[in-house]
Amino acid sequence: MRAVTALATTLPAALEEAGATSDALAGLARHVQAYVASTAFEELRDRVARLVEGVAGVRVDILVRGAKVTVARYDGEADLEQEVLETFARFRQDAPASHPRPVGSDLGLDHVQAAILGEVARLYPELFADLEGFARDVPDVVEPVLRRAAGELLFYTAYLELLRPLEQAGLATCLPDVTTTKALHVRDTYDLALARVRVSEHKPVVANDLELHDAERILVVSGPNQGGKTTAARTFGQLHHLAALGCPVPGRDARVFLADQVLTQFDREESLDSLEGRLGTDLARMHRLLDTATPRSVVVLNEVFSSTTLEDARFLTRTVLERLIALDVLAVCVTFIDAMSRLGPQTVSVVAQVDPDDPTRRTLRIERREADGRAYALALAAKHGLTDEHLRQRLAPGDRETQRTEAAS
Amino acid sequence: MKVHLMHADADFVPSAGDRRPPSWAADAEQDLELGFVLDAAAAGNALVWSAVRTALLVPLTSRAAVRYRHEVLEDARAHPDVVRALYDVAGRAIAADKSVFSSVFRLRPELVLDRSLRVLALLVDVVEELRALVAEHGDALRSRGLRGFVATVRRDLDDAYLAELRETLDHLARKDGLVMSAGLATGGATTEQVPRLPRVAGRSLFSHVALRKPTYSFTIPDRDEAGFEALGALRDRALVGVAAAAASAVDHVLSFFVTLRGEVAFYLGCLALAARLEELGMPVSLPDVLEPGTDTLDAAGLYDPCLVLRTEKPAVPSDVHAEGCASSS
Repeated sequence: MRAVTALATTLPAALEEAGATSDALAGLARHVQAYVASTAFEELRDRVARLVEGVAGVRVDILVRGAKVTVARYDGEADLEQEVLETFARFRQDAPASHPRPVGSDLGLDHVQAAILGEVARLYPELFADLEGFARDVPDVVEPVLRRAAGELLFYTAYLELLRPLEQAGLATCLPDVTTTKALHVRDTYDLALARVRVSEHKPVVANDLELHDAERILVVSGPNQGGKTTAARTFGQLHHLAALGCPVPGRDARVFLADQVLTQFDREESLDSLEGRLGTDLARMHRLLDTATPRSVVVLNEVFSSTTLEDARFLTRTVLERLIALDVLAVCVTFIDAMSRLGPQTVSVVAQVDPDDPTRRTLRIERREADGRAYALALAAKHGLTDEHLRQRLAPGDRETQRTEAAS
Repeated sequence: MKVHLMHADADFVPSAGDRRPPSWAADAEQDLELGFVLDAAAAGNALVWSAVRTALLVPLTSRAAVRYRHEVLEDARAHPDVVRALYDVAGRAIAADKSVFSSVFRLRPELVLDRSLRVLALLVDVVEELRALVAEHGDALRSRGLRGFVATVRRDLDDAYLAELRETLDHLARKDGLVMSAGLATGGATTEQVPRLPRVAGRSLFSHVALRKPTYSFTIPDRDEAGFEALGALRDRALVGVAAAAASAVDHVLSFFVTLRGEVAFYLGCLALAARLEELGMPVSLPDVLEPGTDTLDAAGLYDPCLVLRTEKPAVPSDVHAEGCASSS
């Protein structure tokens, strides 16, 4: 009762002060004010106040004798503790100190307490009849709209709580511009789930830009292992899912397409549950995915068909992507098959980068680049002196003497 | 109830001298060889030793205060057995507390209360002994200090009060049930449990607790362990205050007797010292103390008691007549 009255009085002012413009919150403020002003509320408040007062006025004597508990109305008997203190006070040698009675937390309602309560009810029949009537007449003290509002507001506060540590760590979040145009534009975005873990461990988070414009529909992500490809795929999926919920998304300047669903296929561990073997399972799943997809869906594929040979994978992946192109969906596809990035104007190649000085170090940056799977292998080979040129040099017949001497030293 | 045998209007703590001796204490004790005096007075009793030492280290500053003590000393010299008896009674009270086992572990309120009640029962007996002692010898005492103490005991520990004491202890020890008042908390369980002094109906053997009608009861079945635990929790909640009060009561009564013993200890020490010196053939008397600022010392038969105590032989006394010596400042 008190909470609702307080809400009615403070909410409009608080909204005004914050410069709030949402219709929903303004409507809530109006609703709660009207509710508090209504006669129904006033009657409820008065009734509750009477009951609370009644319960506060309950005072009983409880006699515990062995296993027998007797309950009666309090009869003004003297406080035993005070009696004892007063009786012996005259022996005290120093100045009396005050002894506050220690107040413990309330006992729980165990079955003995419940039994006592039952007897108390018999001692206060009118009060308990009123309580019973109240429970019957008012099954839910909380007004339904307010109850719903409380639950729904929780969604907002919980999500904002989720983002808070990220913002404190300097990561960007923004309300995206949600459009019906098929395109994607976001700067400094990141995987929300991964970022929360990294921030809690005080480790840095690498942000990337993602872009699909004009005829582009599918980001084809390739690059070395552990380079951030899967993270990019997840980020792509999260952006669309969260944007469709009306939530703020990771990053800044975000323009996100309003998807009707986000369909995903990440490679899964082989399981004995399926008798078809992994490829069979993958195919079945993909079939279902393609059946479910509409032109307004968003698809996230991560290393699908990686369980089979390169030839089969290339064929299957190509087939799937051509289907997706035909559907005109926005998608991200993580694959090591570079040819997939050159299927048409709809596919865009992005590559997970490595540090040019140390190819074993991934920068976790994703950049638009021609996919050339050999680039990484070449870099590694160069590092270990195993490129074609290196090998040719080392195996040249003219310098065999020198090689042997060099090798020996 | 004040003892006030050492000061007319203040308490005397025997250990005060040990805890915070004045800066000149060490020198004085050494130079004046007070150790011999203390040992003779104490005769092995550490409390008497502390009491005499503390008194020596906290000199009085008015004739009235000195006169007050002299009077008590005169009574003590005239009735040493009474003073000894007072000391012994106080000692019995302190022994009563030590005689009842007390656990260092935190116990349930019920057990704490039980312990306190047993000690209190013993202490009430000691109080009766004190009353008897005062009744028998009180009129023979002359000093303001002891007459004041006797009057206090007669007034504050009269028959009516003793009856009240015993009644309260009976209530606490009552085995036929604990009564508490309680209210209702929001969850429906009881709250604010306050132990009450119940009304009692019926006569002596058949007396029982009487609650306001109507009353409603239930009994916890024998094998309901959880129920007995819950009941125990409720009892403890109510008893915790009473147990604390009873423990405080024990503390209060003990503090009275501890104070009594501490003050009487000083006089016992004086008696012992005088007896020792007289035994060695040297006289002891109470000086006539002059107004502060009067520059006169007039004594006959003066001697160094420490020398006598040390050599255990009489010393050669001297007379001193000094008047109007201007104090050099």
